[in-house]
Amino acid sequence: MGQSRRLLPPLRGGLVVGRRALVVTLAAVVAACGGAGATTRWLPQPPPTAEPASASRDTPAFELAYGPRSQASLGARLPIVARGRRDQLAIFDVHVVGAFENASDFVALPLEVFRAVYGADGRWVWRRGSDTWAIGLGWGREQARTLGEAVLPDRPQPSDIAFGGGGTWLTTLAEWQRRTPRWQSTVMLETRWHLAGLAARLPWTGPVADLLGGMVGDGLAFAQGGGAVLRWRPGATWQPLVAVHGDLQIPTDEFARTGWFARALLAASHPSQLGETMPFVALDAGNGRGYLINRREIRLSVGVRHAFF
Amino acid sequence: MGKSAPWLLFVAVVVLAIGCAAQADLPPLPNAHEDLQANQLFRRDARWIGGDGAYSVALGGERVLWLFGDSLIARDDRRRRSDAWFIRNSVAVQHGLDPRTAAMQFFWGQRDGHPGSFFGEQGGLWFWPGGAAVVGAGQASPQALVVFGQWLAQPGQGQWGFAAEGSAAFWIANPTDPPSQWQPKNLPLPDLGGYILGTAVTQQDGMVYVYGSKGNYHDYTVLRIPAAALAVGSVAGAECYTGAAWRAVGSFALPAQPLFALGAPESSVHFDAGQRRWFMWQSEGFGATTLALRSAHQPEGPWSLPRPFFRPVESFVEGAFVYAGKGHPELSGADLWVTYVPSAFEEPPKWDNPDGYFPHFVAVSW
Repeated sequence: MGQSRRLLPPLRGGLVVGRRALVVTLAAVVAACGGAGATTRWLPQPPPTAEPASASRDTPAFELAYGPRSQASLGARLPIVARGRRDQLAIFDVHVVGAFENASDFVALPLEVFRAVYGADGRWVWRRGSDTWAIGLGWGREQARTLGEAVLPDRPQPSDIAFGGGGTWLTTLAEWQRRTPRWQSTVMLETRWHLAGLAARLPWTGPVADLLGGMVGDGLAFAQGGGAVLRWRPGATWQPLVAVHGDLQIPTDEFARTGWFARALLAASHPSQLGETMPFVALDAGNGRGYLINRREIRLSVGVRHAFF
Repeated sequence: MGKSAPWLLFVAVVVLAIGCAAQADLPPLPNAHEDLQANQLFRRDARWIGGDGAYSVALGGERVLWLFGDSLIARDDRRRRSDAWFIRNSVAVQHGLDPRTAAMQFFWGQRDGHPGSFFGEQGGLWFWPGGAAVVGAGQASPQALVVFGQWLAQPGQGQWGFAAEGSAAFWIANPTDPPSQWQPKNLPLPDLGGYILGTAVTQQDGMVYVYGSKGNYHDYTVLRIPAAALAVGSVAGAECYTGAAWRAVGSFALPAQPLFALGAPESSVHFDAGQRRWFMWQSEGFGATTLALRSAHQPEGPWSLPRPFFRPVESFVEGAFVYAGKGHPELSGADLWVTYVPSAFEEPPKWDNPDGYFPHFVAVSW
């Protein structure tokens, strides 16, 4: 094509269903732990099972990494309210990540593509001895854009995932964490049920879903992710940890290639009053995200992450 | 609610099971890729520099007639779209059946000393062609060509201000002659209660099947007309499928049960002998569309849901408007050639993309 123009469309926002899902989620979680003995309070810090060292690309934290192209993200998880009784807790939080990346430039500043991931989760958390379990529901949305006059070098192929992936989804979460005096291990599973993509796979709803998918720009039907973090806590100052994460991106188009991603992250966490700072080395392979979702590569990167408490 | 919940669950499971069973009898999705060499078929003319629609029908003797809707005719050899003549329809004759090696000759009309629509405007209405059929003594020496389509008016403003005014058809007695020598005659069509006929046209066993769509949701119906009647410029013996049986037009109360809803405003239908099925080829969705197929064992259905099999590269692009998907079984060089037209949600003539507003070929293989 050779023209200075965007090759992929921005994802469109403003789905009413997302706002409704937020309200329903909040109501369901509060109701789940309601009743006599329940108390409601504002949370001073993230939910106990929301691991800031997750190797997922959507971890809501500040991060700068290079390897060999630059990536940066600005994000946070904002716990809103908890309502609990005895050893059960219902937690509601919102989270947002803005991720910047370079598609072709090797400069240190990532200024070519951008994606925003935001959403809200409700979790039902309960403790049994040293174990903490959580299941949750939520909704989320991802929007992608190019920045400035940036042009993506990759011409879309017919087998690509459309619209840069993204879209609007409902989330189901499951987490387990075990804490001992020296070790902390966390296992996380998340399924994203993309609305337009999901409808496209159901009997009788295909034409409506195709219409909707083309209008809202939802290129995925499902995304299944999972990961684990193992921390060693020899002291209060530094905590070496290893995190792994993998996910599958199932496209709406049956003829498009399924995306996948795997990442291993080795970090040294430094907890402080302002949160947790962790320099890391990461090795990842597979599909990118947002406008780079159809690019597959292997990348070794170094960086630093900070998650505010 | 407590008592009804198990029943609701049961009904939901049954409905899902029926839905899955209905979708189970389906052919595999074909492989598809765009063929840039075949695309050149539409781009070599000195004056014809774009058009949509792109219905086709075999004229016999390795000639294929192409029918285009809105078309752009360049004023000179610079082939600029910015000052091109904008006409409502045009035609072309392809010489040779393989679009990668065939030659193309385009035709349009004259109006007030400049290019005009091939099928001229009548009473302030213009004609957008749909499907067509060659009927009569055989492909080598056809007796007549019938071009179906619709009359349109422009009651509103802008690109989307048009409105369909009814079905139309032209009967042409000498299709083996060059189109410049044709003298199209209006062929009256039966009123099917708002259905616009010609969305797709196919011919099998002495019958011409004319599909039509109605309304913003594009409910589909189908009319079958004896080819022998059409050959002499008549629709005598036409029957409409009412949802349960073929009934003579006028013998049943309208509206008939549609074949399906949420169809495409343009499509093509043909019987694939290899797959032993009828296929309907179309663009699916609106805007950033895919190419999709429906299948059936009878021309009246039941038709499957549309199954996307290919996303044109333009459907990844910001502001994409990709449409007019249809198959061309009379061509050779692939199991099937399918075309679509990429455009943009902009007012004409702002088509700055040189690849846009030309039909694009996709080679399909099973």
